[in-house]
Amino acid sequence: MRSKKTTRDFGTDSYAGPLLEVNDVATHFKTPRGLVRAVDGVSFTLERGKTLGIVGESGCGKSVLSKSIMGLLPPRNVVRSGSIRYNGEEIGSAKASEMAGIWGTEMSMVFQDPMTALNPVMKVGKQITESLRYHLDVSKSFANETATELLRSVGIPEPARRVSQYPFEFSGGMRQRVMLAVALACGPKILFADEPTTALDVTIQAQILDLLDEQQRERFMAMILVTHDLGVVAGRADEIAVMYAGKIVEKAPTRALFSSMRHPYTEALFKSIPKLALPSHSHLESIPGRPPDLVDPPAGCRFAARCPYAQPICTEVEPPLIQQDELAHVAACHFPVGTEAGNEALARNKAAGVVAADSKVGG
Amino acid sequence: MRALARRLLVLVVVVFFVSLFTSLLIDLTPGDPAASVAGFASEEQIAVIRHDLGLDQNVFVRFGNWTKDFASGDFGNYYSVTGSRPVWDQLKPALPVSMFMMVYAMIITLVIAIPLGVLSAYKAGSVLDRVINALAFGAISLPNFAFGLILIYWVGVKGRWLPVGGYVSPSENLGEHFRSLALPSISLAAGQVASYMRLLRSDMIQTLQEDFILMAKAKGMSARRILWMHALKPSSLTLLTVAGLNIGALIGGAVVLEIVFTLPGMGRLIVEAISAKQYVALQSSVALIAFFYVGVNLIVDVFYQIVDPRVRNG
Repeated sequence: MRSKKTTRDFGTDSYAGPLLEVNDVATHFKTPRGLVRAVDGVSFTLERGKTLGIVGESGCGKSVLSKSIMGLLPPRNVVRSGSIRYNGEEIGSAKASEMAGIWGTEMSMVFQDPMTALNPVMKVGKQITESLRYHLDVSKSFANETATELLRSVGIPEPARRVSQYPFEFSGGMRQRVMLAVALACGPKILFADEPTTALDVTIQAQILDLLDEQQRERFMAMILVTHDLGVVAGRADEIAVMYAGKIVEKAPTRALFSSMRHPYTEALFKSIPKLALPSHSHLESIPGRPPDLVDPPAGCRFAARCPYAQPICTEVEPPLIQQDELAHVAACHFPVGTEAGNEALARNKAAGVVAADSKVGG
Repeated sequence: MRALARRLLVLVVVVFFVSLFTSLLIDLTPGDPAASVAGFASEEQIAVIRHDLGLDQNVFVRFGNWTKDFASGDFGNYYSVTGSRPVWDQLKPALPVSMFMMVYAMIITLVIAIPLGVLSAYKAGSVLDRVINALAFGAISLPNFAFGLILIYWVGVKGRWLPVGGYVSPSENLGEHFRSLALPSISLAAGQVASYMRLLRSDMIQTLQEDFILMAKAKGMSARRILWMHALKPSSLTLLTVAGLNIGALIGGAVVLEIVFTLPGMGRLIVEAISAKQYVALQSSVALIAFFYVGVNLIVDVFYQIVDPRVRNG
């Protein structure tokens, strides 16, 4: 067993700035069809111990964003740009060998599908202890005790017996708990949770989210919670960023976002959450159309084609992210929801029988 | 335990049918063992010999007799008019020669094929990967006896580094033993290396796409550790299966290479038995090989359970 080989020391807490500063990060994939702009200019900061929720529908670039920040994407055919500062250190262009000192110990990730993200032929205990042994150079017995303790803390009954079992001997929810234990083993300061509950049974989802919450608070760990479900981040994130077609279209403290959402896409996402109060068999609200092609994104606002507020300017000029009523609340829209301009635009469209910008083109 | 009993039963059944079909096949071939044993003899003398050797009996009766003997550990006798020559006397020294050769070939195969397969999967699409694959294609296309002849010429005759024939037993001289089997084992391994390597490569490329590999990377494990500790084991199931089934090809190759390298192994014994129409000897040798084949596959099944814990309770 080789001992820890860190190229840089990221463990210093003397840096007073934010834990993570992401500035104008773009991630493009080279494909035969052209450059896919999966993430196209995203900026945010994350403070120690806080949670950022990243919300958006499939293909909006939210998973790519978190993998890109961690530097987990394969180097081939991927173009990354922008600045990512972790604890004040630039890691946006770090090579895999340099990132190895960050992975596991500073940043860690919980994946979507617990059925495939654990090694099927390795005992779960070993999957926890190997990173302990590798990074922290602790003794075998200490690592084993820590693994048992970790399994206990993520709510696995009889952890001492379970450490020597294989993933297939666990249920889906239990596996997600195991994965969390694996990710937490070396005490990371940021946890990326990429759709951590999507593959799970609804009854288990809340348990896992509560567990994430609890572990985060105990460890004073920052978290980036990626999900397609506004309901998941509602009570749990300090701040929410809504992504659409590779860009952040709205970002606000959670309460501000829910009380006064400004972007029509956020509103549409919110409306598509099923409500218990509604009678059964009532139709779910859905967003018409499909997200734009990221090889050749449309001019102007990328949501315009599906937006009930869209006006001619929306397909011509791209709206910048500008501050709304509250300091930390930004949205990128020419006719923000709930404002005078927005209400007027919506009323005008309704009067003309237009549902979205592209319905005018299509007739 | 019950699974083991079931497998042992399968072993017996397989060996039974292999022997039966060998027996029927032999019966179809032209030629009279009695005549070839008797040499220049009259029809009447040959008839007497035929009767003495039991060759005038029905093929099923003969098979029944052979089975009874074989089951009790008696491998029968060579057809002979000058006294009894037990087949076992020939098999006993020949068996280890072939076994050693196959085991060494297997070891060489795995020792070379696994690292190459892992490397070319990790570097998939690179120049290195393409070079390895081109060489592998070459090695697959070349029959092992042809490779053996090339080795004999360059390494044995031109270079004089290794012996090109003959066998030395390990109890006699261990170093010479390895030297005597080096070229045949390498020739036998060459084609296998290529196919195993390509097999492992494609399975490994698939495994490297898995979430748990990304997870291991996100844990900060080194590329080397991910390849050997995380990816190899789940990628080796097909390899293992094919290794078991390939024992047949290995035996076939060994038979030919024993002739090329003049080794006194099972292959030569069988070829001699066929040409001399020594059918009892042939039958016993083939049955023994069938035992070996099924036995190895039994071991492969056990390995399967070690490699993949999910099979254990299945």
